[in-house]
This record gives sequence, structure tokens and C-alpha cells, in this order.
Amino acid sequence: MLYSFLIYSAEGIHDRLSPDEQEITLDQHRSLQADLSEKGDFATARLMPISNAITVKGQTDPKQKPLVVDGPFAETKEQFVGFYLVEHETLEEAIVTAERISSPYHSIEIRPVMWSGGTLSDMNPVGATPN
Amino acid sequence: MSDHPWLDARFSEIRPKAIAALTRYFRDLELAEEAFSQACIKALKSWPDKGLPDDPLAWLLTVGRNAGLDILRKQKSADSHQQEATVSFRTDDNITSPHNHSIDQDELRDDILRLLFVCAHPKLTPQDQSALALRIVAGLSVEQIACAFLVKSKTMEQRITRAKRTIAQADTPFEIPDIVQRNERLKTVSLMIYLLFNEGWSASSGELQIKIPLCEEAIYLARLLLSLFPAQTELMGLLALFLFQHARYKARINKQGELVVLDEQDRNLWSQTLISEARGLLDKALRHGTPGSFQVQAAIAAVHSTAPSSEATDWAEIERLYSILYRYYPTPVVRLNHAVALAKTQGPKAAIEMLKPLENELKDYRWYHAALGAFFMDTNQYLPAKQSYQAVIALDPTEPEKQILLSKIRECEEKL
Repeated sequence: MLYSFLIYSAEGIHDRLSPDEQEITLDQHRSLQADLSEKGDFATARLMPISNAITVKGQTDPKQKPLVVDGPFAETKEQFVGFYLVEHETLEEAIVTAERISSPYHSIEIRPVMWSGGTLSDMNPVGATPN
Repeated sequence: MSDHPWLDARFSEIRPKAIAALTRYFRDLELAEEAFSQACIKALKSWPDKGLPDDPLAWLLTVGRNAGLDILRKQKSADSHQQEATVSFRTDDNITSPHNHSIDQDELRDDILRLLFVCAHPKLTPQDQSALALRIVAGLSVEQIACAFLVKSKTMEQRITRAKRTIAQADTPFEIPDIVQRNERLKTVSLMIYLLFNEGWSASSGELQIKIPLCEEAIYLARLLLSLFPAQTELMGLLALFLFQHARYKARINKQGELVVLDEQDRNLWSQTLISEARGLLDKALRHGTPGSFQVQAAIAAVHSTAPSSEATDWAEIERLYSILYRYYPTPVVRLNHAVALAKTQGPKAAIEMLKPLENELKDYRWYHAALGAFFMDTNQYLPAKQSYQAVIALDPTEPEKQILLSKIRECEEKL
């Protein structure tokens, strides 16, 4: 089954860690991504801060154009910061994957994928550009 | 600092919100800081075992309020013990009434803005304003701030103490601001953060590495403000401007530790992550059609950041943007930058014409004479070129700059 791993975090925290601490987290992701790419297909993305988000809200009146609002959909204590899509045989396997990237700053929601599609080129893996 | 970096990071993230809310609650900055640090000590004892509470901010606020009230009670009993006349124990309703645990986001937003606005007090120098904001809002230690501003810890300690006294005596407006006041505060605070970034950015060669935290903290404060006011286009512009600049940080310094000018930077060292974040923000801001000076400056930085090379830079666009910026900031320095762009699009003669009327205002500005010198050289006017370079030398350039200038002067003399 295809599983999604939805990563939530209080957004400012990563930036307030020392560079060494940040690297520990990034290393977890690099190592997981290296293993996953050997096994087969997977997808992942790290999202930009929510200040970059806009929200398009559909109107109840279908004749009206949707509303475009600055900011994320909901004000929450933890923000959706990134995700993985990975094929796993069992939920237990999926949990092992989530454990590999878990940290005190994140919670990871594992949710099976109902359907999926698309292709991704132009990959930009973690730490590929100087930060 | 504790053995729990994840807790320290969490405290650091919560700090501006907590200090802001506690300051309104107690109407006393010192007490708010003390109450917050006691709450953090309690959290360090409790969280590693019991796990993070559902709402860490609410937890720290409740514990912080109680800690603050304890301090006040002790002060009161100590005071009455000494039989002092009037005790200034506060009996405001908001302290004695049972407090509301839910946090009002709108209120919190104005609290944080107020805290920053108080730091930007007009009686303080821009540097002291920044130092205070870094200490109180960002929670940097006095040592860290002193180091970044290249002064002794002792000196910085005194300056911050003095600055705190100034703002404690000031009449802090605690009522909820109306829309005009809020915009005024946002402008004042944005300018303070802008100057903080520039302080870090305009460092000389030897200072660059030391001053970079100032840029990072300015980015942090801009992010904080934008997260509170997500529809403010000038805040988007401000953060975008910082990110475009900061993206070039690694290319700004060479192996010898010297500054590298934009034209000569290795563009592969620019952080594409930061550049794309900045572009995203600028795009978002420009949709609103409410331009402002930060957005225009960010747009100029965007043109540089997205050019594959110095030669391939869209100078016509930069020149156009500088003429727009001049409408917001009709200053000779903006004019000078405009002239540099004009030299690329219309040639050095047009640039010289634009620079000539600025002589009185910019006669003490090194870059003015340096730019003029280069334009005179390009138009084979070696006598004025030589005079311009001599003017730069008279204005105390750094040693490496001086060497370059001397060789240019020799070049002029040979051609005369």
C-alpha cells in the first residue's frame, strides 16, 4: 500500500536550533532518502514557511470567483511542513520509516493514500543547495 | 542552556509571544522576563519526563503568571516589613481576576508588535533599539549581542540597562491600537529591523563572519512579524529583500576573508533555496498591487539574484526600479545607485550627468567619488578621474582598496 507521511512541526523551531542540531535532523532525511531511492519510487517535499502560502477558498455561490487569502488555511500551533509518499507492505513497515525521521520537533501523521498520480522531475534533494 | 537543545529551541520560539503577553499582564518588562525565565526552569524540570504539554505557550504563560505574582507578593511583604510608605503593588483587575487560559491570537499579535515598538523608542539610537530587541524579543544573551556589535560585554550590558530604563520611563500605550496606529507601529518596527539587517550586511571584510548573526536575527524578526501580519505586503517585501541578500552570503567572502563585490561573486554559491523563498514572497506581495519601498528594493535584488551572470543582468529593469525607488526615497544615495544602473544602459556619459548635481550632498561619500572615477576613466577623462580617485583616498578607504586606487591613479597619470 502507498502511505503518506505528513510531517507537522511548530514552524519556527528548526531555525532556532544550532546549525549542528539542524544537521542531525537533515541527516536523518538524507539517510532515509538514500535507502528509499534504492528500493524504488518515492516522493517527498519540504514546504516553504507558511508566510509563503496563500489560500484559495471556494465560495458557496458557484458563480463567484474563489477568494484568495494570504496565509495558510488554518491557524494552528503546529504547521504542515513536508511529506513523503512511500510504498510499504505493512503498516508496521511504515511506522519504522516514520521513526527514522522522528524528532522532538516533529509529529508525523501516517495516512494511507487513496489514489495518486503525476510525475516529478527537477528533483531538488535535501541539502542540494547551500543554505 | 540545557542538555535539551529541542527545549531551548522551543523556548526560543515561544519567547516573543510569552514575553509580550506577560508584559501586558504585569505592565512591567523586567518582571515579565523574570517570570518567563522561571517558567522555563519549571518546564525543564517537567517536560523531559512528562512530555510536551498540548499547548506549550499556554503552559508557560500560566506558570509564568504565577511565578510573577509570587515575586510581587514577596516584594510586597518585604516592603511592608520595612514599613515603607506606599507600596506599588499592582492591584489591576487583570492580575487579581481569574485569568483566561485561552490565548487570543489578535491580542497576542498586538502585544508582540507593541513590544517591538517599545524597543524602537525614538530616544534610543538605532543600534540600541536593535540591541534591546535582540535581548528582549529574540532572547539573545548580552555576550552574543556584544560580540555581534563588536563591543565589550560590559559596555553592552550598560547600554541595554540604560535602554531598558529609558523605555520603562516611557509611557507605553497598552490599549489596543487602531488601524492607523498599528500601521505606524509596523512602519517604525520594520525600519528598526531593516537597519539591523544593514548593520550586519554592511560589515567590512574582517567583521563579516562576526556580524552575520545580525542578518539572521533580522530575518528571524521579519519572519515573526510577517507570521503575525500575513497580509502586509511591505513585510513580505522586507523579508524577501533580506532573503535575496542573505542568499549571497557565502559568495560575499573569499578564501582570504575579503569581501567580493556582486559582479565577481561565484553565483553557484548563492542559496537557491533562499532565493526561491524570496521570489515566492515577492510574487505574493506584488499580486496586491500596493507597492512600497521594501517591495521595490526586493524587486531590484530579485533581478540580480535571478541573473545567470553579471553581464546577463537586466540593467534596464534595474534602472527602471531605481527610478521608482527614488520616488519613495528621494535621497542622493538612491540616485547614485540609479546612476550606476544608467551607466550600464545608456553609458557613462549619462551617468556622469546624473551624478554631477549630487556633488555637494555626497562629497564625503566614498562610493560617489569611486563611481565618478570609473565613469571618467570609461570616457577617457583622465584628469577628473585622477581627482575622483584622490578624493576617495582622502576619505580613508581600507588598505586593499587604497592599493587599488593608487594603481588606478598611476594609470590615469600615464594617460595624461
